[in-house]
Amino acid sequence: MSFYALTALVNAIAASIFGPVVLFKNRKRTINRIFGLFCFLIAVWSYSYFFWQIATTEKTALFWSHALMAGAIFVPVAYLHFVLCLFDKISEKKKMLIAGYSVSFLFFLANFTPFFIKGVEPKLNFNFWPEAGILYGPFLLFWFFYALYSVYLLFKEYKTSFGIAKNQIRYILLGTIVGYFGGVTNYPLWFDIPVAPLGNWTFTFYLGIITYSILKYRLMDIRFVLGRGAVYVLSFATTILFAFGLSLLNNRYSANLPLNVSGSLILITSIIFFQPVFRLFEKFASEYFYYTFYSYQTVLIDLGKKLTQVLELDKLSGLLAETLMNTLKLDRAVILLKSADGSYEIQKNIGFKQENGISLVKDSFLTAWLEMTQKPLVAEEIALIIRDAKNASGKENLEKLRENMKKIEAAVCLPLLLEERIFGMIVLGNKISRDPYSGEDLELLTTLSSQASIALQNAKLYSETKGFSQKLEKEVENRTKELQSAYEELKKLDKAKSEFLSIASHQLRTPLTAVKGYISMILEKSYGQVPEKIEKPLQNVSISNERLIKLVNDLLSISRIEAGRIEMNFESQRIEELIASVTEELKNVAKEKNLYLKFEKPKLALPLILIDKEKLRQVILNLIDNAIRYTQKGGITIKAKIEETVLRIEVSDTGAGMTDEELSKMFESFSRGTAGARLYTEGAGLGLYIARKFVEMHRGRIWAESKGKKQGSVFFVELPVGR
Amino acid sequence: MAKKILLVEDEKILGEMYREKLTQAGFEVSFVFEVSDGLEIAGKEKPDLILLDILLPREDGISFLTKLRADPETASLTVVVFSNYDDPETKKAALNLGAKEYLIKTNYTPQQIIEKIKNYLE
Repeated sequence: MSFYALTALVNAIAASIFGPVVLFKNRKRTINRIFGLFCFLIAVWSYSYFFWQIATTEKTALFWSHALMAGAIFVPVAYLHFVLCLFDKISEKKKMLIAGYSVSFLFFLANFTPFFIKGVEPKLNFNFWPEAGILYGPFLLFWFFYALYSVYLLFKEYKTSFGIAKNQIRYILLGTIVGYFGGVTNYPLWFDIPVAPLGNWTFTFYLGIITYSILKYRLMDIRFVLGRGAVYVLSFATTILFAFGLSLLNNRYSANLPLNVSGSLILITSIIFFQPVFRLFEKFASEYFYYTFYSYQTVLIDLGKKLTQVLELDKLSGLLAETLMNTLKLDRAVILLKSADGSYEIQKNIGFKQENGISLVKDSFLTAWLEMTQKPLVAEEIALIIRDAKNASGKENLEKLRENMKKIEAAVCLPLLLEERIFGMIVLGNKISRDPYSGEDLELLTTLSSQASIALQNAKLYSETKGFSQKLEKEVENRTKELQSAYEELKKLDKAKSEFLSIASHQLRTPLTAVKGYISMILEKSYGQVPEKIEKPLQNVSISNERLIKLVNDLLSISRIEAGRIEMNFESQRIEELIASVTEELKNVAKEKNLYLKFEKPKLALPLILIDKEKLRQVILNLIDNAIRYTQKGGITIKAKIEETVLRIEVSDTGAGMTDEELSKMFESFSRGTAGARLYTEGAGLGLYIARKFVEMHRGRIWAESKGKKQGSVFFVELPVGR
Repeated sequence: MAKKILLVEDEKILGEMYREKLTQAGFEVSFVFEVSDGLEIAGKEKPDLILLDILLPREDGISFLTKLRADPETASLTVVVFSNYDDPETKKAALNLGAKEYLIKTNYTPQQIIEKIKNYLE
């Protein structure tokens, strides 16, 4: 088998593998179908080429020559079809395609006539090389025109494209030129130009590249592909060389070993040899071709772990954006999170120009698309998606999207999803190297984005909670301040009120003092004898005046009690003296009503007791005064004695008495006995309330007992002794 | 020898009433309306007792007490405050400045006041 037959076979096998693989990957996709057709044509050409090469008769050689041309005729037009499809220009160049297919078909028909192939004859080392017929020249012109036109289109796209697209077209262009150049080496001999078809094998390379670009939709990281390929090729070559060396040695030194034994030995040795060789080359390749790939994979996995450890939203976004940029060597990255109004707020931006509109992202076709596909959107792929889009509005939206991504200089949009709902996105720029994103990159980014989604969502919730509690704290602080100032205001008001009361009572007391003083002096005969009939009225004025004085004192006391502004001034006192002085003071009042008022002093002196004299005086005064008011006949008896640990004062009268109901309300503010209401209307009901308050401030107890109406009452005050 | 009493009282009617009563009781009474006059007489006459009102024009009784105590000449004079201004804080301040008592005028007849001050005139 000659070298040419072998290369043809390789091409044929490659075509019959790549074609179906691409076709069955997605049979509905136009570009896959066109590539399938292209592979089929190459396969027809290559298989025929192979059979033609191994043909032993002129007749079979001629048959396979016709057959190989049947495939070759359609190759350039099918390839143009592929290129037009790649750039989405089929409709634009529809006429040219139809013309190409039509002319090809005419040549296809002519192919079976001697006008196309006159016959076969020996040329160079070939026994049966075809001789060009009259139509073969025009065919070649046609063939070159279409082939060159495809190359021209590729070149033109290459010129106007940039970035990843440019890189991809460069590879396709390279493959195409190599493939065509190789293919073209078949033609000279047809016209008796003695050039061997040495480039025939390059078609395999050509097919490989295109297959790869179609399967992955992007030419991917070509370094990786080449690296992998190189590892295999070199490993195989080394192993074969090794086996070849072994068989050479075997032939020279141990010719006695039969082929079946030596062959098996060599095969086994070679298989064992292949593994370490492959690993060795892989190691080299890792270092020179795709070493960085592994290292950044590790970094991204580490990042995934780190993400779960950071809770601050700002820190987390920063970590994410910076790590992505530094690892993938990107020119820019931004993290956007959806806010309540549907706009996407920049959480962290490195390198994106805001004036290009990155800050204007909101719920749109893009976010809907990301939510629908649940995977990264690569700007370079949008063209392919447009090509496959079913409806016009979808196409239009995608077209706009492509323009927008181009405008903001975004290469990849990575959705951040939570329960399949989009809540943000990571937008990445291009790699600084201008290398395209590889499939591995995107898989990794997808994995990472799902981790990042959870972390960012948590961080967002955390920051919202934190923000809320901060807001709450602030609110509490404000309210507290308000309360504080309200309290201060109240305090001022309270002070003003209390001052007012002090002043007002002062003003009331001044004339009362004058009346009290002068009447007392008149009655004391400071101004000479007082006529008897004047004495009684003067006593009455004095009594009324005393009542007014007491009322003022009570009101002042009440206001202080209510304001909590009562201060106690405890002194050691003899209670008998206090009671005696009050009794003395009220003597005239009782006398006026013809009541007796007696203080039954204990036989033994009572112990000294700690009291606020002024206040207790008021208590006793109130109790006795009260008793006088509610008694019409009889009188009032006051006793004081020690009962175990308390000193008890009793004020008993022979007056109106009280019902149980009245007893229970007796010491409440502004309450008066019903008897009092009838009998004694001037009372304000303040006395007993004040008495109760003051007694309580002495940690004592005050209460009243009565056997009922008209049965008289007894008021008790108990004060603790020995404190 | 009659005891000297300085009466500082701005209410004319009350002041005359007390002066009359005190004079009848055998005291030698100086009666002034204002703090400044009171301080001047206190310094000159060194009264045996000062009956001091609290609410006075321009300066109040507390101011009188403060100045009286600040001057070594008058620092040790006996003072009884009598006022109808019943304010706990003022009362505390007066007692802290060495007033013997803080009497509420309206609770006492002039005679009762004389009995009170007699305690401090031994």
